[in-house]
Amino acid sequence: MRIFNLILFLLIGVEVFAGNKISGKVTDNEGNALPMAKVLLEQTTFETYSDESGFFSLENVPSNTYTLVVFSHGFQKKEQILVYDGGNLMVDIQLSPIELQLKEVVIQEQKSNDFGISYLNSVEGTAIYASKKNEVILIDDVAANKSTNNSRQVFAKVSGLSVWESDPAGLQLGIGSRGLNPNRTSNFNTRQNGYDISADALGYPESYYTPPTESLERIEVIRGAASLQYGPQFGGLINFIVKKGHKEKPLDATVRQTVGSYGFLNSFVSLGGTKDTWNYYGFVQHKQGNGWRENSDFNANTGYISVTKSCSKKLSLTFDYTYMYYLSQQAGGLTDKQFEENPQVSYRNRNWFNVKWNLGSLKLNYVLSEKTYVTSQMFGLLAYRNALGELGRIDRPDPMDNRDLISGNFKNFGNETRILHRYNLIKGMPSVFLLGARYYNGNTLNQQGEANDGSGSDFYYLEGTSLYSDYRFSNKNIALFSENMFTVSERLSITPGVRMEYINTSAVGEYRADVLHPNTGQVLLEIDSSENKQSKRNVPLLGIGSSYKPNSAMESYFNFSQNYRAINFSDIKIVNPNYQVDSKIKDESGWNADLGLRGKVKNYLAYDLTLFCLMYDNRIGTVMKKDTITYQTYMYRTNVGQARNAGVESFVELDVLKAIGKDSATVGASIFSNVSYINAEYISSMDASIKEGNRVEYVPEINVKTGVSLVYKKVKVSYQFTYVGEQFSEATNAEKALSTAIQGKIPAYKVSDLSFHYSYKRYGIDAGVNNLFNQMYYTRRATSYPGPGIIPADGRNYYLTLEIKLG
Amino acid sequence: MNMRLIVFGFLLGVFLFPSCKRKGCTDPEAVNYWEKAKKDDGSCVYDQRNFLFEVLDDIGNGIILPRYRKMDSLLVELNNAVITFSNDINETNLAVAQNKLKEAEKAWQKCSTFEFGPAEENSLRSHVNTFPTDTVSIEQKISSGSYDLSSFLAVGYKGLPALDYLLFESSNNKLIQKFSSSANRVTFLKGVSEQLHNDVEEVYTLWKSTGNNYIETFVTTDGTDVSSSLSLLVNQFNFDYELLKNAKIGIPLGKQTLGVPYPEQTEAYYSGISAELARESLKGIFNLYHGISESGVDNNGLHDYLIELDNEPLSSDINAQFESAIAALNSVPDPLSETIVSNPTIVDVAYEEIKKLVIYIKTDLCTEMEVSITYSDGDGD
Repeated sequence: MRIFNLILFLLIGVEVFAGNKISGKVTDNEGNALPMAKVLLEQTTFETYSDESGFFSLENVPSNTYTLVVFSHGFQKKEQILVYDGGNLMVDIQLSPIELQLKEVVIQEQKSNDFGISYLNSVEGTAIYASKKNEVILIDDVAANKSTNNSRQVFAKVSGLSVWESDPAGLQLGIGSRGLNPNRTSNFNTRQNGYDISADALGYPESYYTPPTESLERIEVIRGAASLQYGPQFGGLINFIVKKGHKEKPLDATVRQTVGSYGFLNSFVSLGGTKDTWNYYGFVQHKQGNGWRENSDFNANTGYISVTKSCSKKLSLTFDYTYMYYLSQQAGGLTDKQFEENPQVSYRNRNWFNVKWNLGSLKLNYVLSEKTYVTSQMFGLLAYRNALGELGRIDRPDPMDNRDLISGNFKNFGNETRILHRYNLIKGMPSVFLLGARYYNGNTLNQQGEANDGSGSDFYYLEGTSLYSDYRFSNKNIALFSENMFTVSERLSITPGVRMEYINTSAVGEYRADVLHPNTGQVLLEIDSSENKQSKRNVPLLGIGSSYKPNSAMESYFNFSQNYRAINFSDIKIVNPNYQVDSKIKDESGWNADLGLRGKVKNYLAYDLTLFCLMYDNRIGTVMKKDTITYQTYMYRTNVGQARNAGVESFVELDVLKAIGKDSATVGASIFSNVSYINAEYISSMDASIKEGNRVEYVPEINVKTGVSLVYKKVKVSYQFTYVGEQFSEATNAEKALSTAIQGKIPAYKVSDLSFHYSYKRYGIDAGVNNLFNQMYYTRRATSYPGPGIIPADGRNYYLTLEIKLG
Repeated sequence: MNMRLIVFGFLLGVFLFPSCKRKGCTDPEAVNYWEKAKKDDGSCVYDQRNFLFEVLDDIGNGIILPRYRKMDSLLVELNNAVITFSNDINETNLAVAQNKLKEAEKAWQKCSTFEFGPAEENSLRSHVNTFPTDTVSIEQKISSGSYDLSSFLAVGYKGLPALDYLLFESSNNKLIQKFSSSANRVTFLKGVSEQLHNDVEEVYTLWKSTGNNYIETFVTTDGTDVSSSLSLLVNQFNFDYELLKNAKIGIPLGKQTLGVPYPEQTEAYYSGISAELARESLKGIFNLYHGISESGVDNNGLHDYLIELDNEPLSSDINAQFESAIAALNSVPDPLSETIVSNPTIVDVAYEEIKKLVIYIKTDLCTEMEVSITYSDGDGD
């Protein structure tokens, strides 16, 4: 009801214009007509394509000053300022083909135009992004240690993100938005080139594979409103887009070699190009290092190949394959005292982790007609991860007994097919309709048992021991979704959407629950139990968004979308007989609402301000229950409560020289500020110790990232400062740390990063210092892997990358 | 004009966010006063805080410190008796050491409950009383003469249970013979006894106001979060009670092994005072609950805090069940390991009565006091 009030309210303020038109012809520099060139007015929904004879027309355009943008495959993009005050305006556009010597000019233009962050257009490919909070990170413009995927830097301009720094060299990505838990990015739907890359999109949405930043063209982040088109996660979508091969040349190669502190070595080689109707891109990356802490060496290899065949002007096929394997030693956690003494010391030298990921995808793009596109993507994953080690209390020495091995094997496949159709509901008002379907089938084999008492990376179960648990989980998911962007006036669009999900989750397995002596830990009795659980449900999700553009440089957007987090495998798995799972346990559910304002002031200031509210209901947790007949107590896993995260996300970037009217091609200076305030608290709980008003764990109220970039000719120096406020690590809001170090506060911390970039012809140098002032801090207290205990973030480290482009 | 529209839209949005309205307790006198609350929802709870400080003070100064003090001084006496015995191995000196050990074992029952703060940091309970002791390791260590008794890895063959074995495992004559003929055995005995005193003294020093003054932290840390004194106390009150139920009685009786009894797994199996120790343990927990000080004065304890929280029915249920448990346990004769074989029914009755109290103190009491049980147990009974 209230949402409709808002829309009505917004509608009343909008004037309706009579038909006016901007038209013209697109040609190449020899005067030949260019068909299928895209013509659009920046920051508006006005866009079209030129016809067979190169003609285009944009109708019902209100009077204003616009930036007309025209581009076509193989030609340089052209931008032109238009002062339009009604009537019929004719503009003829000539495009020049992309030439190699133009490249540096293009780079310089980007330097002065681009802030390293951008936004998605209202409609791209077969997706509608209108009125959704989103950010696009343009990797070429990011000042970061790309060889280590330093997420503090890579995601610096995405507002309100929490980052966990618990892994050397960015092997795993741990980010969360709006106060959602950053653990392995599991609150995002994580994709590469549009397909899922997590272990199991619904049942175990952990990201073990992070696409190497060096290989990326951009990263798209869409907040909670992505739930209707991508998947129900509260955090939204994060989509890594890998580079494509050079569009003109048959072979273009990039070689990057990085050395860094603590034995860090990183080699990256990519090849790409276009030959006839084939475009290809591939890379290999090898990474190794000893880690900042003792016992934290790692070795990782990643490879990728992508081939696109343009079968005709209307049809193209893209095949991708990704391979990744890494082995890393886990230094374990620390107690508060150990951390104070020396965070680099490790008290566990027998803990290991390895991961293998195989991903494949085949994507079909089909232009059904000028107004209708179809994409269909098939994808699959074959993967495993193994965690081996001693997970006992970190305040006690390693007993040197048999270690625990936890292994997960993942096999999943799916298809997502979308059709997008443009039509005019009201004459001259292009509306866009999207319909999609998704099928997903995930299978996980999860085992836990005893491994040897040695210290090597021996990922096998001991012969003659029975497993502690052996489970097969499966998820079958069918989703149908639709959104429609209605252009109500040239300033206002409304996008309602719906998604229907069918999920069938099952857990079949056995577990061994030993009864242990509470003093000695001696096994008194082995109890083998088995379980067979299934849960089928239908989940409808609704959402609506509206976008209002008072002028070409400003947009206000509103969005409301429902979300849910499907019951995870760990939610339904039983580990001991004193443990019961509510037979009616529900998916965690809720919604995200955004109200934002973004745009540019002239060419020197970009901003995005958002108010948001994230309601998180049916949180799954465990409470103690009693049985008054048998006089027994037991742990009961059920939906225990509700939390609400609300706050403000802000991003502002200023090009200082342009702001004071001193635009220069050789000198540049810009500053950015990314500040978010999040108030996240429990509003109800079945657990009496989690009181109403208690702060949600792992949500810093204040999160600040700010930085300055200076450019002189081909030298760029960037400084970034990060401040993250104090956080609680659990829901009762423990003020003090206990000796096991798994509960207690996480103090506020400040980190600085300095990076330097220089390019000369085909050579490039990246150098920098991460954690410039060698601050000792930590971002998490792990309850289990990779701890338990405090997981320190890395101290100061240096890196130097040399890049050579060949071909 | 457009700007105004947008600003208005923003403001409207703020009010539009449903359920984001702040309701809560608006009375500044209340404990849960919430300065951000716009509207009172009748949830105000009034101050038990000052009373909680009284409870913590009575428990900390009236119970915990005196119990540690007593334990510490008994261990000095025990250690002296062991030294005397090792210098002059005879029946009289053995008897003195044996008696001192029994006294120390009894005194420990009343300290075992406080496994938080300094005791938890030092894993005191494991160092002092990991029973059943690992007799194979003890004999191995004696013959090899190489061991580090201060290490956590030694908990299986040190502490009171190791002394109970060393001083009671055979007839006195045989014991005297064994000690007389093995210097290694004497050294090990002295080592265990000395280390035991060191372990307890270290924790006692961490507690004392003249030492590291944890008592100050304990009596001033209010609240109910997992690091609060109340939460730590209630958790260990439960944990220790469950140790009584399971380790001291249930496991030897066969309650966790499908009825197969393990009488030799009783506490103080060799000295044979298991039932008496169980009674001491229950009495210690009862006194803690009621706030009865070591000098016998009935101060404020968890019971009184429950009354303050206005839960009379629960407190009378707990009282009644404590009485039944104490009565049932009183009728179990020592040595418990023999009673388990000769008269399991009487032990079973005591076990069942002890068990009935768990559901009150582990669920209802915790809910009422707004603390959560943070230890997990593999209790499969």
